[in-house]
Formats: sequence, structure tokens, C-alpha cells
Amino acid sequence: MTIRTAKAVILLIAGGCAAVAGLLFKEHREYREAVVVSPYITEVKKLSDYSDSVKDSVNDANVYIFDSGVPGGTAVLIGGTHPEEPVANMSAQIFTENVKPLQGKVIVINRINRSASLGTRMGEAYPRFYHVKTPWGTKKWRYGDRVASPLDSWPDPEVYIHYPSGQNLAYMDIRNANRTWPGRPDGLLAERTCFAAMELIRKEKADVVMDFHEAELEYAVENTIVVHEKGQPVAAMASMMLTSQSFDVPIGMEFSPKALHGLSHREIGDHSHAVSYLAEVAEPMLDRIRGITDEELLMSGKDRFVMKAGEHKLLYAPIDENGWPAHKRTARHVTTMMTILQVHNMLTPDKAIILDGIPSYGDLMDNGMGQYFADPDASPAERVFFD
Amino acid sequence: MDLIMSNSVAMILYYFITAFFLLALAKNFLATKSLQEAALYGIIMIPFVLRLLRLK
Amino acid sequence: MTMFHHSLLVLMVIVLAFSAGKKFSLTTELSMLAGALAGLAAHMILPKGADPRSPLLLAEAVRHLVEGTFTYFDVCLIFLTATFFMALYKEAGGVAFIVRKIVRTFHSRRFVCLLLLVLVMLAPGAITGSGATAVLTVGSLVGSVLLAMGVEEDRRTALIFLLAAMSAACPPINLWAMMAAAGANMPYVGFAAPLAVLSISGALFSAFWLAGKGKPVDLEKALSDLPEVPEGWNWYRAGFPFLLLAALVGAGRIIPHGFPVLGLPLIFMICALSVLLISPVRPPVFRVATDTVHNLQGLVGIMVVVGALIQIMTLSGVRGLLSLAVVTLPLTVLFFSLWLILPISEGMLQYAVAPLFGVPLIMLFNMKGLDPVISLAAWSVMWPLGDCLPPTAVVGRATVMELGYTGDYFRGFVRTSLVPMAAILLLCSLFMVYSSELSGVIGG
Repeated sequence: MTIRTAKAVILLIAGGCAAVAGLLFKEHREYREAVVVSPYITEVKKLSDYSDSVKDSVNDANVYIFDSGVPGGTAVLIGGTHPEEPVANMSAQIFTENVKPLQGKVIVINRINRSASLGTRMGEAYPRFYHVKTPWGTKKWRYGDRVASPLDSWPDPEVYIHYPSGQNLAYMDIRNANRTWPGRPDGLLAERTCFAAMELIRKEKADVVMDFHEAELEYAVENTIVVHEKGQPVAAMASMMLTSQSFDVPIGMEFSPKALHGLSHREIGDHSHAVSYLAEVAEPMLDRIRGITDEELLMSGKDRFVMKAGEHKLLYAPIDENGWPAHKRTARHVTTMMTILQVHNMLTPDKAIILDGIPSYGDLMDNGMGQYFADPDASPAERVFFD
Repeated sequence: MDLIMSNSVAMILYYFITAFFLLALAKNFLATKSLQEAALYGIIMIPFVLRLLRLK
Repeated sequence: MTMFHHSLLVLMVIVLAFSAGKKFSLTTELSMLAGALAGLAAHMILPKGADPRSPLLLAEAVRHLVEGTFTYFDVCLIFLTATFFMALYKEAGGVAFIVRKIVRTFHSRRFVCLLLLVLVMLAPGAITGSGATAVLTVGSLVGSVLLAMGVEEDRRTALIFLLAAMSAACPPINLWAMMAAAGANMPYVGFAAPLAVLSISGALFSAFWLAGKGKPVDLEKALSDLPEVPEGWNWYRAGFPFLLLAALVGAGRIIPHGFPVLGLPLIFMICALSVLLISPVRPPVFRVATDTVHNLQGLVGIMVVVGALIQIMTLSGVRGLLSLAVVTLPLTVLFFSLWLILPISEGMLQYAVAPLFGVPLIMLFNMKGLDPVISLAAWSVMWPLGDCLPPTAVVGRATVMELGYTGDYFRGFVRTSLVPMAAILLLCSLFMVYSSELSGVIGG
């Protein structure tokens, strides 16, 4: 074989691999997630309706507004901050598809850092999609990265200097929507996204903001509610109620550290009237010590290597052969939010937010999640939106 | 020029930088007489091409 | 067969394929690629244990390989642009001008000259966090001065490597600490003092151990050995690209919220453009670019292939198996073995070791009541020392390439580096063991 022929073969193989992978990347980036909003939707806005900073950008997320018309408080639910934590956006979507507000207003963003959901994290061998069985078929979501895609935010600085604190953070965190709060209108994409979300929180006069997350079991901030100091009584009581009445694994409560900047639980509380909460639940897929990486692990939360680390007492959450299935993780988030609202309503009745239609912990544990997502093909077109 | 525009220009320039080095890679790929070098250039070019096409 | 057996077998297949590749005279990069491909095939074929698993289609397997090649894409761009900038500068005669001036001014003041060289080597790595960038930007320049100072080849190469490793570890930017801190959701705060103490003492010890003594410089002979400088060079011209570099990097630090985010690759390309503007001669731009790509093909190639390999290791559970093996070691064993584990793993996986071992280690040390900031700082100075070790040996290879080293890689250059390396590793180990006590002193 001459060198010319060999080069042609090399080009063919490399080009073939690039073409196959390129098509899969494209399919992932262009996949549109259907959301069937509950019949009680009042309005669907865009994040850019609150600030031009994200206008025409990939992160101009849908903002789903459910207003009861009865005076009360306003809650904002944020999903999809880190799209490698899928229960965060599924929990938000449980609200979007099922909520019936009886008092006050609830505003939901399913995918706040949409860019981060358009590509999987390099080197982590993530699946591109994940699926949930429903009575009408299988529902599919994009699995994603922790930070915005470099296709939408490139380059990173050598070091990310947080605005306005001046704190130094790792360079890639300038694309991390939970390190860029409160944001700035002329920064990079994630900074602008958080700025627009802050404008939403301020303009809608939100009383409660919840940011859903998941965490590796090796991480100390686990199965907990992280709260701005303004929300201490609510979070403390909610964690006690959840631990004693609903959850098999207790949920803790901790304060947002004052010296740790850019996180939603610190900056939203500091820069608005709202009380900011962040809920964490165990996701073995995020542990560096995990075994085989696939959708099964993501959804079942079962991993023998993580269990082994548990035997060595290296984890902050328990794990056994039942794992941490996605429906249990979702059930915990949804119930945590509902309990926080319940306590909030008790302590500030003039700002009550009363929601109906949301499945209980028992419902989600018994029936799974699929029951609570509607079939977009069988739903009226005016209720179907795409994230 | 405001900051958002400046950052967008910087991002576009990165595609030019990628294209510039892809061109140099392609020239070396064509010029080399070593099979192993050619194979390595072939692999290195993959991320450059896919980034340039905005696929990853 | 359990998942543990599966991952262990895949690891063995990877090692076997890599060894076979080396035996059949494949380059390190292609041998690693062979390891990744064989590991992927083994993962697809072998049983995966008792628990249910998702199917892995061939197209998805290809996607994993290709996706992995992107892992260090930005680092590759930094290597390419930094080297291109310095290659243009060298081609234009700027390096020769500066070296001649330094030799002429400092030939009789060895101590001052060495301190200056340490500073010159530490600066680029400290700003960029990359030892390879330090070597590729100023390595040959400093190497030329050391040559003129009578430092013999093995010592010269060892010193450039060690200074580059310490420059990567030096604050403000230490990528290992930043990546591990980010992975553990810790702020990158409190690292500057311990990193500075460890890396600067390491750099000074290396410099004076390897080049502290030497024959007085024969000025005339040294100058006659150096390349001639084209007409028209002066300090203004020679200094401008570096001032521009410092200004652009500095602007991002001083007015971070009022200055566009340029990133290092664009900054280096702007500086390269400035060389064309100030140079009295016109260097051939595209030829310099193709030469740069040719010289860096091993370095860039290894980063691309390591990314693919790590993706396959993660996919098949091998990464988890290795991480688990490290963090389940008893703490005393870790104290006595991390000085070896960390550099060796750096040689294998590059920056990927920071999230791989760093994050579980932070969690472990935190749980055991040790100070995670001082400990991580100590590991982050140990890691770059492994950059001369195979299979990647990124900074070691860059050093050898830049200095045109002709000796034996291991018996010459690496062996000469061992004493300063051991001293740095010992100091770092002490910092790790006494991290709780030290945290009060240097604010970890």
C-alpha cells in the first residue's frame, strides 16, 4: 500500500468517525423537549421578557407562569441549572405539567441553562438522552453537561473572577449557572442568564426561590436544603417534617456560606427580597468512583463501586442494592418544595402560595413519574411548548 | 463596541484560529511521508473539524 | 462475572494493547489509541455483571471515542498558539537579541542571573497554569542563557523541566487545584499562600541545586556560540510583544468586568501578530505555523488521545475502579504513597487526575479532619512533577524538544531531576501530613 492510499484510508476512517459522531452530536443539540403545560397556565413568557441580556440567545428559556388570581405570595422554581442532574429539570416539569394554583403565583423554568443541556460533558462518557416510561409511551430528555456549551460561550478566561464579589473561581465556572449569580447584563452567557433570572425574581417580587440539584454521594452537601439565612425557620421546620413524616433517608438543613459566592442560595437572597433555597439529592452517576457509566445507572442510581465506597465509610449518603432511582429522587425534590411552601404559608399567611395537583411522595414512589407527564401528541397544541 | 459584542467577536476569532491550525494540520498531513504521523494528524484533525462545523 | 471483574479485565486489555502497540514500534500516542480501541471493544463484548445495563450501540461507541478527543481541546489551542507566538518571535530574531543582552549584562553575577531566570520561567506558567506553556514560550530562551552560563545539558534540561513544573503549580493559576476544587464545589480561595510557599521554594532549590555552581562565563565564547541578531532589534521592539501579553492578561485581572474575555489562545495570537508588526524582518507565517504543528504533533496528539482513552475508561468503569482503589487505601498508606501515586498518575492522565483522584481525596481528607486546602495545594505541586513521566510526559517532551536535548531521556534528564524532585515531594508530603497544623499559619 502506498503512502497516498494509506492516507486516503486514514481520512476515510477518521472522516467516517467524525461524521457518525457529528450526526449524533447534531441530533442531541437539536432535540426539542416537549412540555405539556397544566391547564391552569396563565402565561408563557421568555426570560428575555425580563432582561434583554439573553435576547436571541440559546438560554432565552421558557418561563411558565401559573397565577391563581388570589392574592398571595410568589414562588419561582428553577430546574436544569446543571443538566447532568436530570431530576432537577424533571422535578420542575412535574410542577409545569400538573400544578393548579389555589392562592398566589408559581413561576417555573424547566431549563435555565439550556446551552448546558445541548451537549454532554467531555470525558464523562454520559449517555445523550434519558427516558421515562409513561402510560402513553416513552418520554425522552436530553442529558447534558454541568456548564454551558463552548459552542455558545467560548473562550473561558484564564481565571473566572466572580461579579460583584471579585472571588476567584475555576475558569470553566464562568459557564456554570450556579456560580454566576447574581449575574451581569454584559457578561458571558451564564452570567447574562443569571442576571435575567434575577430580574425575573425582582420584577415578579418573588418570595420563595427554589433551585433543584443533585450531588455525588462523596460530597458533603448531600440530601439537604441549603438556605439563605432569611429562610432558616422555614427550612429547619421543613427538614424536620420531611424526615419524620415522609423520607426514609433524612433530609438536612444548612446555611448558605457567606464567603462562597456565585451560588443561587447566597446571591438570590442577598440581591432580592426572595428567600432562596437549594435542594440536593443523592445521584450516584455523579460520583467519580462510579462503575460502568450508562443510562441504567443514571435512572436506577444503582452502583456497586459506590456501594463499596459506602462500606469504607467514604460517603455522606447511604446506598444499598436498591440504589437511588430517579423517581425517588424526584419524589424527594417535589415533596421538599411542597413542604417548604406549607411551612412558608404557616409563617407568612399573607404571602401564602397554595398549590394543588402535585403528586405526593407516596404517589411518586408508588406510581413512578411517568403518570405525571402528558402525551404531547394527544394534547391540545396551545398547551405544548418546547424547552 | 459593547462588551457583549466584543465577546462575540472574540468567539468568532476562535473559529478563525481553529481554521488556521486545521489548515496547518492538513498541510502537514499531506506532506508527511510517515504513516504513523499521518494517522496521528488524522485523529488530531477530528475535533478541529467538528468544532469548526459547530457540532461539538 | 461482576462489574468489578469487568472493569479489571477492560483495564488489563487496555494495558496489553498499549504494550503491544509499543512492542510493534507504534508511537506512544497511537499505542494509547490502540489501548482505547481495545478497551472499548472489550467493554462491548465482556459481560458487565449481575445488574441490568443499557445497550451500547456501535454508533454511540464511536461517539464516545470522538467526544473524548475534545476533552483537552482548549489546552491544545493554548499549546499551539503559545508555541506559534514564540516560534515567530524566535524566527524574527527576538530570542537571540534577548539572550545576548542577558548574557552580556549578567555574565559575572550568577546568583542574580539565576534568580532572574527563575522569575522569567515561573511567570508564564503561573499566569496560565500550564508548564508546557512556560517551556514553549520562554524555555529555549532560558535554556540558551543556562548554556552560556556553563550549565551542562542534563542539568539544564532538568532545570527547565522543574521550573516549568513549579511554574504550573505556582499561584495564581494552578489548574489541578482549580479543577479539583471545582469538582468538590470548594471555592478556589486560600490556595495562594501554600501554593506559593511550595512552588517557589521548589523552584529556588532546583535552580541552585542544578545550576548554582559552574565555571565563570567566558563572555566572548558564549556570545560567539549564540545566533546572530538581525539588524534593527532593540529593547523596545523586543519587549513589546511581552508587554502586550502582560497587558492583555493583566487587563483581564484588573478590570475583569470591563474588559472582553479573550482567553489565552487569542491573547497569544494577538501577540504573534504584534511580532509581525515590530519585527525588522518578516518571518514566514504559514511555514512557522506548519513547523509549530509538526513540532507539537506529539504533544497535541497525546492530549487528544488521552481524552478519548479517559472517556473509554469512564464508560467501562475503569476510571471508577482506579479512583476507588486509591481512596480505599488506609490514610497512613496514602501519606506514604501519594508522593509516588500522584506524579505517576499525572504521567498517565494529565490534568484529568485532578477530578479523578483529587475530588475523592478532598472528600476523604475532609472527612478525616485534615485541612483540604493545604492538602490539595500540596498535591497540586506534586502532580506537575509527573509531567516528565510516560506515557504522556507532556512537559518533559516539550522541554527535550525545545532544548534540542541529545542525551538519554531517563538516564540523563530524568535522573538528574530526581534529587530536587524528591526534595519537593518530601516538602509537599510534610504539608499534607501536617495540613491541620499549617492551616492556622498559612491560612488554608
